[in-house]
Amino acid sequence: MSQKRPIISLEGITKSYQMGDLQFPVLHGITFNVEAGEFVSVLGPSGSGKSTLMNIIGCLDVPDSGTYTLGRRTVAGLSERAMARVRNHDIGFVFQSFQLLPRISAIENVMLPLIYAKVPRAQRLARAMKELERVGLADKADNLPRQLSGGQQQRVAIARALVTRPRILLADEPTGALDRATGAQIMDIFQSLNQEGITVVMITHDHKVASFASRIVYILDGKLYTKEEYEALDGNAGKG
Amino acid sequence: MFFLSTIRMSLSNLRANAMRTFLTMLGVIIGITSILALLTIGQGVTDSVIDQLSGLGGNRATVTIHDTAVKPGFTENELAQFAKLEGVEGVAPRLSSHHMLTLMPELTKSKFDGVHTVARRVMGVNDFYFSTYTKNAGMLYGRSISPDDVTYRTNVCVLGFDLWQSLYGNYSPIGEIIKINNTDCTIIGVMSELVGIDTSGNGSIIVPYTTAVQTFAMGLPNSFDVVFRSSGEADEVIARVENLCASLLNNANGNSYSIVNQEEVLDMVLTITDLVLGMLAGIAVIALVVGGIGIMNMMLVTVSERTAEIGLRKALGATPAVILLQFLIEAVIISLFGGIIGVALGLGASYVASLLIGYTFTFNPITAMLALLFSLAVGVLFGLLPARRAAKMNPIEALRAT
Ligand SMILES: Nc1ncnc2c1ncn2[C@@H]1O[C@H](COP(=O)(O)OP(=O)(O)OP(=O)(O)O)[C@@H](O)[C@H]1O
Ligand SMILES: [Mg+2]
Repeated sequence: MSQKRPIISLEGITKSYQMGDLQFPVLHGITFNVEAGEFVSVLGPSGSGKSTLMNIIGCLDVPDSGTYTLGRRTVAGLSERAMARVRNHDIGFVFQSFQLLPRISAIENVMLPLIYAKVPRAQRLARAMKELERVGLADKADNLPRQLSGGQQQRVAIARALVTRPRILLADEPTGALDRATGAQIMDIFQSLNQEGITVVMITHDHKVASFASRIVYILDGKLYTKEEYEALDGNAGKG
Repeated sequence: MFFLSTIRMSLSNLRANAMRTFLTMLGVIIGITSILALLTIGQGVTDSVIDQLSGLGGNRATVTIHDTAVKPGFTENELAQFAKLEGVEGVAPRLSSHHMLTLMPELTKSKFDGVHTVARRVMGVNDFYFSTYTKNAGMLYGRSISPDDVTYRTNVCVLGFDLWQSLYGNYSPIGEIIKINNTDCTIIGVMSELVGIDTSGNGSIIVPYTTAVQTFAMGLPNSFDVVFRSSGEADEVIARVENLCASLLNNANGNSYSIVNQEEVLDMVLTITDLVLGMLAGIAVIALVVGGIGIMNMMLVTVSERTAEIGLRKALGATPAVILLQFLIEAVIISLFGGIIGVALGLGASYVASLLIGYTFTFNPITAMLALLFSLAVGVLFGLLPARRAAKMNPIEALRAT
């Protein structure tokens, strides 16, 4: 696609979970590159390891083996503190269940990452307001999350993900809790953000949602496939 | 800046669970209140005990014959010898036992119609008793017992304040006659109310001790106080008193009499009050520790309730240190608020107690500061474990909690 160096580069990533004495391998040597400015969907069935992959990309978790390079930085061996900084500066998260703090207003939720970025309060307010405007919720700034619809809550969550101006937006089933029309609105926002230059990696098990992306990769039982590889797999050709 | 927003966040979390926060705080409030009240009340009481003891004169010793088979008591002449020792200001023997008082309407105008008979303590003392022991009270009416009364064994008496009120109300009976064991005694004075440690005079009728020995057969005094001219030479004076005692008791074994320096008694009292204070403070500290455990318990509950929130904050870039700080601040706010309320209540309680018990209330800012520091320490100490648990939480597990 592009000759630029990838912004996200995974090489032979493995991850297994310990359950008592047993090891459950979840990711089996995943190699995955995302160029800056791409909008990639990771599509796969439940339990295939999508969230596990996203946690690793989002520096919420560390792989058992393999190398992960984020921009120019090798993530392996970073301290917890450094990982927290990466999450704060470089990555915006959007979750299936929105994950807004229930007792504080929309704008205060949006301001949260800026507290951890040690931005002064006046600037926090201004920047959070700008992000709320961007997702069309400036008039709901003082509403509590429960005073917002699901779609509005997810837009607040997107504003929060964007407020530190990260290069990457990571979304795990961002439309999973929304109806199709509202989900499509969210996808519109993702597309326009992507056009502004933000790299988007979105995880979903929904083909229709995945198709909003410029590229789709497939994950099955902890292995990653390109569209062509996936369609070549026995019995999957029809579905793809 | 960052600190401020963390505090604001903690306050709103605590407000959201106001009832729970208050109940948790109650433990600290009770702990700090009791520590402060006990310390201030204890200090106040100790101070006034010391005040009164040393007001009585720390510069004295009490001589007592224990083995009255060796010697039943000291004679007038022997007491005079003690009084003449170098460095001795005077001696104060005291006899005391209950006797029948009879008030005849024709002899005295008491509160009662007809003959009134009552058993009361009769105290035999000398003039020195009045000049030394009741000097801060003085006489309400008439005069006290004079050296002549002692020398000539006159049948006179002085009424203690309470006894006088119970027999006469407000009437001054000076010059009238009261019968003690059927002996007519002229009332020569009424004492003002004694306050302090030794208030036994208030309920007594007081006569010259020589009269008590001879007329009322109360026996020779086997105990008396020696007052030193200056407390600095107590040891030398006590040595002289000891010598005289030994020779008067024909060098009977050392157990047959004792000489107790009141300075030592004061020291002993101080040791005891310190001990009691220490014990009370210990109990209060236990209360505070219980309060601290309450905080720890609540914070542990809070941390597990807010697992998802912690996970989210971590995902948004909160470092472990920041999470630790947030929960620590919550614990400290509870304990410090509790401490402030506790200090106020404790001071209030000791002020009320000072009015009830009658010592002087003093506000000691150092005690208050220490109490606050202590509550702060409790918050940090007991908040640390839950806060560390929150800080160490794995963000994925935490996010999954929803
Ligand atoms: N903490 C864990 N301990 C043990 N096993 C785990 C843990 N987290 C995930 N797994 C297992 O790893 C596998 C992949 O989980 P993951 O959450 O990545 O799936 P997913 O593709 O996101 O599924 P879904 O679409 O349902 O969200 C599952 O079989 C799951 O049971
Ligand atoms: Mg998942």
